[in-house]
Amino acid sequence: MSKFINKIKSLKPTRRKIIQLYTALLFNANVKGFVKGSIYQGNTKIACVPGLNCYSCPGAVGACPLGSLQGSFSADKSTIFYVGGILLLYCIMFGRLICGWACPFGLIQELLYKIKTPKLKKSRFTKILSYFKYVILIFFVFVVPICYAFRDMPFPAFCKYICPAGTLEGGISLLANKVNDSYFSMLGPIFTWKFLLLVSIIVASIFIFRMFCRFICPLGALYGLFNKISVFGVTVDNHKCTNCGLCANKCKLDIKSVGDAECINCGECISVCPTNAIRWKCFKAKDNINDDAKHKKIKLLTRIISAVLLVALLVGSIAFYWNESSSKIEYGTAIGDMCYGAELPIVTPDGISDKTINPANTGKITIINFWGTWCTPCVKELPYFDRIANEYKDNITVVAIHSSASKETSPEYVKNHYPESSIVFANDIPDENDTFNGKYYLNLGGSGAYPYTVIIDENGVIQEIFVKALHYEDLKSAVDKILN
Amino acid sequence: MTNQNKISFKLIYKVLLSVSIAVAGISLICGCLYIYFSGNGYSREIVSYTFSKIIIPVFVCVILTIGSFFINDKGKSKFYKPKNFDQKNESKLDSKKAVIIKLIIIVVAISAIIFGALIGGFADVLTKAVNICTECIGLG
Repeated sequence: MSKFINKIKSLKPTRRKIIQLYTALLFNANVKGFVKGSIYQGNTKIACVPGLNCYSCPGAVGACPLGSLQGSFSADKSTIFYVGGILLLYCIMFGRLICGWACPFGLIQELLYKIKTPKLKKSRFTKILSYFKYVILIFFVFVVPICYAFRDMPFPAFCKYICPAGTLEGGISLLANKVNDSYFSMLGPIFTWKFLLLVSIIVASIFIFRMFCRFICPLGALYGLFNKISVFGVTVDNHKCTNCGLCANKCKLDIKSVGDAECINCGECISVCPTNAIRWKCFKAKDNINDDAKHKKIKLLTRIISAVLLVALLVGSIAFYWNESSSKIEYGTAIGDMCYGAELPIVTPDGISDKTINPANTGKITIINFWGTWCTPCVKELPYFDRIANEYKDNITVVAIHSSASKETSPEYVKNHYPESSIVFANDIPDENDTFNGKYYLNLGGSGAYPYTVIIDENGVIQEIFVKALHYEDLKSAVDKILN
Repeated sequence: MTNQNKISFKLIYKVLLSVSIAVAGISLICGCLYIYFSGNGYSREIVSYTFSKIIIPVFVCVILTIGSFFINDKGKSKFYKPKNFDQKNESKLDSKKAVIIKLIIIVVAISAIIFGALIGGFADVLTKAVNICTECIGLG
């Protein structure tokens, strides 16, 4: 019986695990998104969460710091200040404490490590491998997006080619819902590569503690640079330290000393230090703590009140986001339906003109492409639409409709890149319930994914719907099929 | 077990591992090629059949097999101390200097956030975050 009780006690989650689970739930409080298969589109997404949490996850209620950073290089310069400021604040306040206590993907890896298998011990080889994440930080997070920014193209290289959190939390969560079956047409070599990378990381995490955090995560690399000077975290009293090395031996990460760039501030070394030299910054050392009955009562009361408030915050958040998601009106359209008609303002190289266009009423085969200057696949496929528009000038009209969000950037983009194009550029009109995607996009069945293309015939009947980036051959074959 | 038996057992184990890696690798490549050349692209049916039933189990076997080469957890683990470990003499900033540097960085960070927000910096963050980033999740 005592063995059984001890076993149950050993399974009790630690305080750190509870906090990790709490933050994972708080950052993904939009539970209804998993049910509906759509992402949250509310204003709380202006704030970046501190841990690695993809903003395309149906449950995400905040923005991803890495994705926002990569996107800021090609956006308006004000974005760099905003995102840079948020990241700098997280770095200086918490350092890698975020990795140890508030990262959902870190939690997943730690839970996988609990599976009982032989484990790979740290060694000089793993220490050398831990520098690889700085290469990923410099190359994929800074160099590549900045180079593309000079070409006016947002390019989140890390998110596109590596981030397993995006594949797991965003891709697989969305694809698992039957409502998003149309997204399967968008899967290709990139998804295969990212999926296999995700499976590798998941399986490797069973044998290697926090494999992604140690060797790949650029966010951890960034936070690690500020670890020693961060306001919160672990610190060592050099006067009490005897260099016994028990802390480094206990630690499962590749630290050289407690609190260095590899340390995730989990605090597990505090309990093994024989001289109580390790403590939390901003908190009293253990010897200085007054442990009399009165202080114990105050401590207990503070803990109870904090726990109640935090639980109330979490439950309140889930209820709030559940209610907010319910208030969105849903649209839908399918092949064979009559295309929705509306007058959209035309965008010229000189700016937004007074003329309007009704894409459903051109009298010709019309390719309606929904795009955004902030969307890399949209920007990459525009040349193919331009080519098709030129080649089939007499038979088809190509209308490129910019999303309602950031529509003020479209005239300059058109002026710089397509001043004499046969494409008719237009801006979408804001919807009462959704000011980001636009009324026309929503009425034609758009669900937040860009690029989105609808092809209608001369009578305004929808012939094709594409929820993916298109190549010239895809467009040509679709147009030839309708023409014939 | 005699030494000769141990040696032959090790040899058989290594041969079996090598063959399983080769078979797993070939099956994995064939499975992926099947998806591309089947002409249907990805669909829920192909993914659930090919990935769940063939590719995932095979890929997991490959990783487990490769992983088993590196696992060396036999008996009690050795005491590990990093090379040049010297926690006691770790150089630290003077506490006053450290506080000043932290304060400066915090002030710079908060100023940048406020400045960026006032001139509309969060609009781009919001635009990106409220639309499905198809690139980020492997679509497109």
